[in-house]
Amino acid sequence: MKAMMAGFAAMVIISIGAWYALGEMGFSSAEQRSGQSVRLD
Amino acid sequence: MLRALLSIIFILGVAPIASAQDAGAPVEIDRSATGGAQTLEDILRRQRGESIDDSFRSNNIGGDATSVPGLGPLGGASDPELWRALRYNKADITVSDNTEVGKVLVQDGGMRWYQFRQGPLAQYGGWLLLGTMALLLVFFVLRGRVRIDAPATGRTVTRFASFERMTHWMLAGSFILLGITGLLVLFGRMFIAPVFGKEANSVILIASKWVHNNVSWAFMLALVLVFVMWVRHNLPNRTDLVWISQFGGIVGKKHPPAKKFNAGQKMIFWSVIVLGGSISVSGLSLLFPFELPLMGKTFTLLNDWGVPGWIGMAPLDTALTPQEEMQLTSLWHAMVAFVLMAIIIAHIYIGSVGMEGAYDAMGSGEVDEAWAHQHHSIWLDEVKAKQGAAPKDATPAE
Repeated sequence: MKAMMAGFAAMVIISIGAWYALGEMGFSSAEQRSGQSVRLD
Repeated sequence: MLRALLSIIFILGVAPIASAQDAGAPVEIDRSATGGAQTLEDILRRQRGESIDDSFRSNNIGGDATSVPGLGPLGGASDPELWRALRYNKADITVSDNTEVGKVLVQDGGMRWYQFRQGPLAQYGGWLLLGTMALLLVFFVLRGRVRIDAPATGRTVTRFASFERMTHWMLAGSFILLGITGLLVLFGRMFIAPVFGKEANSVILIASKWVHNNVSWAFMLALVLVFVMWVRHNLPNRTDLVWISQFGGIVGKKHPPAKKFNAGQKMIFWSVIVLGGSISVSGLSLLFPFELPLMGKTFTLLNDWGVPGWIGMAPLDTALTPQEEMQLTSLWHAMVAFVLMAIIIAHIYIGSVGMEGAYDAMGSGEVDEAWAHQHHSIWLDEVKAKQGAAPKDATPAE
């Protein structure tokens, strides 16, 4: 049971880390393909 | 052999969507009455979903101003010809986006993608999962639980170490989350929106997309770790043939010998690695839109091998627009995921209610020797031989 919980915890930590890292990279389609002249925020 | 099989599955799965308009041999249509322009028969055939050789339209995009002098600012192209050039992505245009994605002003692949996604993909995929669950229920009713024949010994052996179990659960947990959120994204508009409303559906799908995008990294990492940890135990050997010939003891009363992983588990392992690997690659392509196109390159490879010809198909169209690349990748991603979900449902069944004592292997990691002897006798003998053997650095008593 401990191993299962550790696996799930690792999954959560990796997911949050991925979210942060991808956000910093500006990976999303909206960020990649937008600019001052083409997108109104 | 495996490569050939996968190639054919790929072609049967994705290629028909890519070339839906080209299905079947195009019929010659007499267009003399319209001076070569579209006829009623063309329109009716298109509406019936039949194949049309529309080169009479796609190539009819005007000429050069130099060859037809004095025809105004558009040169030799009339308005209809210009529109046709835009329609078939043959117009020489400049867009502010300045990428191949932006240059596609009209694309009808999206409709084929939408219709396939809402139609056969959702329908057959949904039935595959429900059918698998129904079959397992019937099997459980008929066969019952696979019991341990011999009484429990009370002595246990370590089946999986802590790190192996942690990695397994990281893979399992992430796959289940990815499966559920993937199904929500596919079926949300069909089933959630009509019942709970579009607002609720929107919130659920935004959350699902967040989970899907980020949990995928845990899945991919766990997939690599599982491969490294267990690949040497999952190479096929002769005991697998015996196991398969006796249906692994799941059907019937025999209990064939097996090493750490039996043939059934090896099938699960390779399904997870191959299908999970394919889902990961297509998922990465979707995660970074237009950056990692896969389909055109794969079609080129398949054409080079001559795979479409094996099943009487013409070479696949490799000149896909960036949008079509994404559409086909998303369909492939979902199709492979459905197959893997069905396999994993069966895996969950046999690892829980289907077999007595199976859960302990991934729960506590300790299994009773009676269970180990019944299902993995060769592995048990190996473990016991190691336990009984003297340490390598031991020195004999004087």
